Amino acid sequence: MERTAGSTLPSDDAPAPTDEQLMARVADLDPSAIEALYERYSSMAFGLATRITRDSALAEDVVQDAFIGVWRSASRYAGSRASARTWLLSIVHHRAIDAVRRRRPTTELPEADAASPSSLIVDDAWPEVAGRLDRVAIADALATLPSVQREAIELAYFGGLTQLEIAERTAAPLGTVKSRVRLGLLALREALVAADRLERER
Amino acid sequence: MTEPRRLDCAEVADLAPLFVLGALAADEKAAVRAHLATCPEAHDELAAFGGTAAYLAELPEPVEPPAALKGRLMVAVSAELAQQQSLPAGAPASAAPAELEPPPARVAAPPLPGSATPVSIDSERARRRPRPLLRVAFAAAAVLLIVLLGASNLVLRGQIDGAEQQAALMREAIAAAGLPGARVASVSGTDVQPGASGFAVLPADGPGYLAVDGLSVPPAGQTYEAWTIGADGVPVPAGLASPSNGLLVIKLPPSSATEVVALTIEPVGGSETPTMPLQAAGDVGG
Repeated sequence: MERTAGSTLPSDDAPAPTDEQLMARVADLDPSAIEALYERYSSMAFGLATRITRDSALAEDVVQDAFIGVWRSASRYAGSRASARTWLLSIVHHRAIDAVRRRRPTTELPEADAASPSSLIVDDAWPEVAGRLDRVAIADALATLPSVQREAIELAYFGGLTQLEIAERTAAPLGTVKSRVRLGLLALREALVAADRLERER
Repeated sequence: MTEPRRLDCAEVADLAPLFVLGALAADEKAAVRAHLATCPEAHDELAAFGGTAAYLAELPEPVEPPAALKGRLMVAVSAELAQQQSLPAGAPASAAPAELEPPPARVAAPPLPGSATPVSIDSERARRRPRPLLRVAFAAAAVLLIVLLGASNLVLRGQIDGAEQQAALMREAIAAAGLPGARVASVSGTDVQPGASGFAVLPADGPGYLAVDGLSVPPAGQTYEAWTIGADGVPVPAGLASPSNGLLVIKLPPSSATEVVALTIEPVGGSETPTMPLQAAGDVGG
């Protein structure tokens, strides 16, 4: 019964396993590995989910659902080039977006994949274009963007709005929204790569 | 669901920034995925935009989730694992289409083995061989799962409420549920306790346990009393307790003859015969 839910496994003196090692153990159906990943990332996941849903009860559901998604799909993570951290947080992001869209009154048809996200979302995580950067450096990089570009990116990523909804919200033509998002991401990439270079030179 | 419109490579490249940010409507997203599933091109623009968007996940301030969330997750994982292990090796994928997966519940209810629509397991998952990881006897999987689900949450409740003794009793109850030959049954509140639910555990020998959550506070001067009822139909007093934050755990005297476990409200000190109405009851017979 030592792995009964809710129990905490004793830590040992061995070096902490990497995220990727934990993911491999999750793929082997080891519950202690998902527990360890939860210990590492639940705060980030809950912070992200809360930011997107603006509802802590819903954010809890999202985080639980996302970690169950990790549990179910870990065997496919092996094929991903993304870090386990990026992969896991992208699942949280997808689930949070799905959750706000389900909640929001909309004329849109129900998301076909909102009901079965675990089957596809694992392909939607990509390796970071720069190295690992801290929150401040990333926020600084985002702050270098023209405000209309930053706004479009934030409405999409954190607001869960579709391109059409962003166009309505910002009173901009759809084509403008598209180009703002594209240019904004390109500029963000430039800024991140520059920040990473700076970090390495330090 | 209509077939998603077919996109060509240039259209996918055009939608890539919106796709990686999650800003496409469902049909557009499906169309992009349909294209990617079969397209021989690498679509490096997706990796570039996606690898940039990945940093946005780092921006929100981390927030510690409520402690109970971890318990809920691990209960849900246990339920998944148990179902995994109850599937014969190489069993075909779940008959339930993935689209039927219910929206996330606050607490994922454990699927009942043998039910027609288990929680969706994708085909990849079903190909994996179950592995004996939990040393829990999942033979009586249906009932035991419900018990574990309830019990783990109750343990957590006990810890959070600082009711250490209650948590210890709950652990004993969970351990007893895993013993060979243990009888376990869900316990439901009656009409006067619609919010109450819990479980009873009666091992082959040794004490049994009754755990019920969601109980009302008994009136002043009164308390809850458990009863065990055998084939003769005579209720036998089986312990007194007051709920802490609605949760109550009572250790029952050993009795292999018990068929029903019930809960009533009695004057402090207990009664020799139960005062109606029953507050909760569970059938452990059979």
